[in-house]
Amino acid sequence: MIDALIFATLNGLLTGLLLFLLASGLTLIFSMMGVLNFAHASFHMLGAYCAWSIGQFTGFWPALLLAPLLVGGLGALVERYGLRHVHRAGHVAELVFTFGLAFVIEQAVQSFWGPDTKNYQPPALLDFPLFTLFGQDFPAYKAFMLLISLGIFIGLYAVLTRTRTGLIIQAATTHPQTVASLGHNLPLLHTLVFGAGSALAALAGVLAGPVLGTFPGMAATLGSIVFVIVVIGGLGSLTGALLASLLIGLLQSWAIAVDLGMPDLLHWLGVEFPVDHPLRDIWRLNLPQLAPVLPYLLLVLMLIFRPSGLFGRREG
Amino acid sequence: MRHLLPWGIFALSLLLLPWLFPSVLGISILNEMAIAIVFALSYNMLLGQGGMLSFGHAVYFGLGGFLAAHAMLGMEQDGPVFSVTLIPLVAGIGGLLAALLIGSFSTRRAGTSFAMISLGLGELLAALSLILVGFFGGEAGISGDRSLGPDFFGFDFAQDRQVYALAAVWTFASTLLMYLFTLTPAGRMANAVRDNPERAAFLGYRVQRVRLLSFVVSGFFAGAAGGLFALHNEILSAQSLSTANSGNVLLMAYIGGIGFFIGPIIGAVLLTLINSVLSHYTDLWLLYLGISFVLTVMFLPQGLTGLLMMHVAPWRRGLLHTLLRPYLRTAVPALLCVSGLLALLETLHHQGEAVIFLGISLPGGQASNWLAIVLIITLAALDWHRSLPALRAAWQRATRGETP
Amino acid sequence: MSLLQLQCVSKHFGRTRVLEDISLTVEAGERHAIIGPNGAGKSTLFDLISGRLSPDSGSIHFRGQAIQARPPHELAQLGLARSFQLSSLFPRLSAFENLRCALLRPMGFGLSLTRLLPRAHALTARTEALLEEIGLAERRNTLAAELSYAEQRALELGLTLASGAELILLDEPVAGMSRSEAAQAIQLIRRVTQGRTLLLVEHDMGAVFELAERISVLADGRLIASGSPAQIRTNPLVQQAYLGSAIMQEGVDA
Repeated sequence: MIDALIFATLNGLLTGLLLFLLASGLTLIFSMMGVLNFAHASFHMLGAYCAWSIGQFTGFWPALLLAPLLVGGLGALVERYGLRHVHRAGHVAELVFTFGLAFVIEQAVQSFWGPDTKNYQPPALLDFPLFTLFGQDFPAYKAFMLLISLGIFIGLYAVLTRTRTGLIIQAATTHPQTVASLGHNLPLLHTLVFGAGSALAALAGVLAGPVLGTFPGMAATLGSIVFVIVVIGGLGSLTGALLASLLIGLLQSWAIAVDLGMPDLLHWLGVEFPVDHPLRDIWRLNLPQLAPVLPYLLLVLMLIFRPSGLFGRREG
Repeated sequence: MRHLLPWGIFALSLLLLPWLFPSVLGISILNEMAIAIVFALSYNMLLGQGGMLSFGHAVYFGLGGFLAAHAMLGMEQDGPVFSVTLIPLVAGIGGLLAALLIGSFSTRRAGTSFAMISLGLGELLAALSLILVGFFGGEAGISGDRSLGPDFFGFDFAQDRQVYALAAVWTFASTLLMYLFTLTPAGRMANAVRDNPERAAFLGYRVQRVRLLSFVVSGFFAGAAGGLFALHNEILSAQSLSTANSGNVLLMAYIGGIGFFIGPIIGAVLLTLINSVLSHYTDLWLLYLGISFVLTVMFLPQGLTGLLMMHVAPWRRGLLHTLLRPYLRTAVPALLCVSGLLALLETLHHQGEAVIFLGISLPGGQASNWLAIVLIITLAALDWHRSLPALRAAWQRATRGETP
Repeated sequence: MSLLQLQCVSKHFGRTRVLEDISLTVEAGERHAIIGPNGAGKSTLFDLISGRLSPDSGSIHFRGQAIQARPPHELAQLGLARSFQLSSLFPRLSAFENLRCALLRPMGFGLSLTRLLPRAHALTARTEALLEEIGLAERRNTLAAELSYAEQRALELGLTLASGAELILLDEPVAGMSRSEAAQAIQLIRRVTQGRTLLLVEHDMGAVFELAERISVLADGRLIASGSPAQIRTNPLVQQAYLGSAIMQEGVDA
């Protein structure tokens, strides 16, 4: 039991930090432009696929750098020639635009990379168990992912709070007019932040591809979860996004590891239900089954009881 | 009398189409169209008329459908209880109740907040549908036999043709009712709340109640559409309440034009056709659909109906014919450019294999071929670009009535 | 009993004190104007009365009922209507539809699902009449978003007056209008508020002295004077607050 919990915690932290790589870009883009980017997870997927393709020629390490740059550039183009054009029509149109973009990217990946899962492997350099605990291996690659994710978080935090650009970005999220009137190029800032956010998402994709699988559905499975995180964390809050990422990562990981459910509860309460009870599905629910549902349950409860999120400043 | 004309045309089309396309496939496509029309109209009651962008409208469609499937299953086990013609009603009431429950908290806000709740609930239900096997039937879904209800004036609804008759009646009635809704005070206030909720509140309206009313009515028709879908397919799976289905209805409404009542009808008809016809010709049809959707959002925010409506002004002035030449002038390079792009995408997709495109065989993997295609695209795009100022000028003359 | 009664109302935004200890009564049938220099708290006071904001302390009574914690739609149902300083319209509806929306509730249509607007002839007639009255008959089918500034102001006034409310709050109704447009608007307000109670915030002293029977002066979040136009003109406190600014002079000339 305890070994399963320790591994679940490690895996949960890892998923959480990966999710944060995605959520940080999404929340930054939201706080600047007021638009939740549906295609964010698609950039994540593109990152994994580009890295796989580039890796065929160069190996893992150059791809780790090149793929995010490529996808970041694509993100910047999308902002400059797509989103900005739609911006005039309001937030609903923007949301619908990014939704369509996600659809296109998923279809494009299906069409040009094929519907099967790519054999995208971690680099040979990191393909060894870092340590063995209770007879179970913890791969070095996962530790590398943890380190990179942590590094990105610290780096992002430093950039946003210590550098001039970071301060301008922060100011632009709350007082765009003032920033614009001080002579800063707000549209260019939007393009940069959108591109950087996409690059971060792609980096998460490059890292996650070998572990979570590189397949055309990876954006869809992750996309909604990242939305959940951004909403639970409070739209626009970086700290909130980090906490919500870890929360969701751990919650899902624990739920899978802890094989408890309604039967145990009922047993503990001493209640019995006939096997063919009409609500038998409910009496048989267990946590591993519920793991994929938990984030959405959390989202709905959050939106009902605390719509501004954990650290939210804005109201929808 | 003039406003009855569209309804006459609508009824006549519903009546005549099965005679024009009597094949099994034809009737099946017509059924799907009828269902899509009701679903898309119910969706636009939220998006176009109420300003509520939903990513989870399939929830009501799916729940209604599952209720209908269970009703059919019940008749299979316990014998005929009520007429099969009423199954969409049962499904509609299911959708309505679900919308009442969910809407009671999700309609508190519009905008991003509403969109997120609808997405979360859509995902939640889609995930739950795989767990609660008793109601949703798991991977296999729930199937029922529609022909086991009591006889309805000689109809037992075993054949698709009879189901079409039922679907056509339900579609006509639903469309009429949804149109009448836009003429009620509740429908007009939904527009007002969409435009400016604060002002509506200061006029004495509880904004949430206005939204909830639209939401519930929309839930009813989405459920009824789901019920028709269950009757048509006789099986319902989790696919029906998935977020993909929610996305599909958004595409229909948007491409058709959310600013017009008829928009979602056009979108539903077109997308059903694309869905069943284009998919036979190319593997990439979903990609093309997605690209068309994104281009619609960018350049035709009022959808195809908006594009048609733009021509009303020149037509009234009797200047429509002046647009013909500039249109042709633009269409030639535009078509060339687009078909070049399509050829490029198709050869890319088939990586190295030969592709028959527009009757032309394109041997894959030859650099010279690729170069030729890219050259054609570039030249056509340049010429397309050059033709635009003339078109724009012609438009200005035609709409403002200035003679050249 | 006064129609509207404010007792010791205070409002703070963070540490900034916006309104302090305001007590004010408005009698039924009165035309009451609130004036004061920029930043005196006039708009906040309006937002408190109309339910857009709620006070930190103190009470507001309308027709004897405490209303300080009620949401705007309930206040509107009680008989209180307000206009906005920045026109707050339904931009994608025509001028006609805007007014019809405003008339739905007072004419008993509410949120009906069973009545059809094209058949509501009395409603249509009333809407057309109001449209005529605010001078927008020729712009009947123009979207509110496409009206000119002055036309939008007129429509804003129309939306507020349509309600038939007993107490009408107008937030700078003639701001940004030309002399002649303002004169027309004042005539309209006079005519339509006949027999009702009017509470007005306005910078245009001409409009204030032409419309108001009583004037209250806000300065720096406090009510410094309240009285007839003549009293206010000669009140030394008021003159001090405005520092002998030209606005008062303009009012005297008007």
